[in-house]
Amino acid sequence: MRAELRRRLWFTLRALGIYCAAIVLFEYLLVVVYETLGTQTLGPVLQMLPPGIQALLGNENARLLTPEGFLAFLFMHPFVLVLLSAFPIAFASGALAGEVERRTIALILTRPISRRQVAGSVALTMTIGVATMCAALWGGLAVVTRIRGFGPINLVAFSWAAASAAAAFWAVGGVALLSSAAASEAGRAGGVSAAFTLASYVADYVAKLSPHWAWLKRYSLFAYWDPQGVVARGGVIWSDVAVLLGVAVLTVLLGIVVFDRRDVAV
Amino acid sequence: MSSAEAVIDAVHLTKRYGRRRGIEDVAFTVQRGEIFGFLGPNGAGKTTTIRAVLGLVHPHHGRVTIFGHPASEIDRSRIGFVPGELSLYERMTGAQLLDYLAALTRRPPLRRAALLERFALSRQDLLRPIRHYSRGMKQKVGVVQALQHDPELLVLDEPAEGLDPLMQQEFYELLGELRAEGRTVFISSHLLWEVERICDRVAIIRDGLLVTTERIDTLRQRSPRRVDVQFAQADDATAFRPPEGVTVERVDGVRLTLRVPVERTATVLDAFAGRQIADLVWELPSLEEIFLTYYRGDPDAR
Repeated sequence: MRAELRRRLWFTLRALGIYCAAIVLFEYLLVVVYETLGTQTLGPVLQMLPPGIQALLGNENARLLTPEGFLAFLFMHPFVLVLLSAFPIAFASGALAGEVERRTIALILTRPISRRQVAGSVALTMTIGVATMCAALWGGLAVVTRIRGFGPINLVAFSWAAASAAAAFWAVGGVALLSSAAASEAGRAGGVSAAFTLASYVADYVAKLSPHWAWLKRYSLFAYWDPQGVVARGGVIWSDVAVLLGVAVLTVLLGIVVFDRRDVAV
Repeated sequence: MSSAEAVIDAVHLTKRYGRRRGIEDVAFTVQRGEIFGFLGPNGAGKTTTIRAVLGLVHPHHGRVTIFGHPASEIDRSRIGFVPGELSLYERMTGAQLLDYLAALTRRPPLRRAALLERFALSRQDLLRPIRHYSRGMKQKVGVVQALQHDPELLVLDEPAEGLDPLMQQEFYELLGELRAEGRTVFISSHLLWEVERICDRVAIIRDGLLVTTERIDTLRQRSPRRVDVQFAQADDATAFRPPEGVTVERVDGVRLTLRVPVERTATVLDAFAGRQIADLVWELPSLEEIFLTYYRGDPDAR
């Protein structure tokens, strides 16, 4: 299994590096934008936005007008969300369904390595990748704020936000792994996972718009991930983290079992 | 094997893909030290059978044992596999791929150097990414990866596809050497001359059903002969009435071509009595003819 894990990590490094660099660069740009505009400009603009958009931005109680609140918003910015989702979805889809589609899986499965080990190495690489990206999210923030003298910010609170991000996107990766384990085409597996993630995001957003739609929350992964709340509180809500970790563990284990039992027609 | 000598033992293998039949009640045994050919046109069930043998698909019925163990429990380091429509990791170099697969196999690649030399793959070739390889080079790497760890059983799905004639020749010689060393080869092919040249026994599969499993020489001995007769007079050819069980394939002037079941040999010779024969050629059928006979569904062939 070590050889399999080494190969997957080695061929993921470059993509992972690009994802992490994009995150840090975006953090830098956002801090520069905040400094340039200042709260005097941002405040009135934010107040003019409709309540729905303010909910989307997480501007309850004018959170975004504090440096910490603004940086916490970065965790929820669509660009960052897309990056954090894209890696586990693209990697997991390409690693199992993609290899079945390209037929390279036959080279592995006819060797003395079990299917569980193959799927397990994909799960482990995906987990390491998500953790690395979330570490880059936090590390980039620490470096950028220090370079720019931005703050003061509570880096410990942001480390909790990054950790909860890792749990949320590990869960997204788990769903992607499960979908990939059952599929024979990377596009189909990735499409299903991306649709699930988008639906989850939309459900959380719609639930915030009106109490009538609040019931949607329970069907969304993102309802259990509130980085702005984590930063404001200085810690996570453990029950939320437990739900995210539960989904991640369950989907990863299910993915491993599905891949173990399926037919691989290559 | 006696079952002690059977390397692959497939019993009542059945696999369906929805409404489409994959294979039905396929059973055969591959003995240690033989080259066993698995014949059939595209879509007949060859690849499905190989998938079931290697544990890539789970049969609905039946079982496969390899080296006496269920396919799911065998030590796969004892097997080498060249997939049909070979696909390799394009971003790796040839050397990286061979090292990676050797590490997965957990057996030292004892044969690699000799194989690389034999198939004319240089060190420079191996340092290039596989995406820059020609089809033939990829196929050579495919053969090397399957054999580098010196497996006891080789499973080959259309292995010579993409190899140039020289390399095909080298490959067949290699298979012969492996057989001489006591290795077992299970080869699927639709190239009948390839199978006829190298295999000891063959199984023929049609529409998912195994129609025969036999030694090639036995198959040929048992199959109807093709008899070319040249009569001295054209009237004899046109007037010839074949005995029961014998079919006339062609009449061309003084020449007559017959298909004669082995047991009708004496009858045919009797039928020639009283006619002046200028030439007579009695031929064993080629594997291709036998194969086509089975595919035409001719009961005399079985």
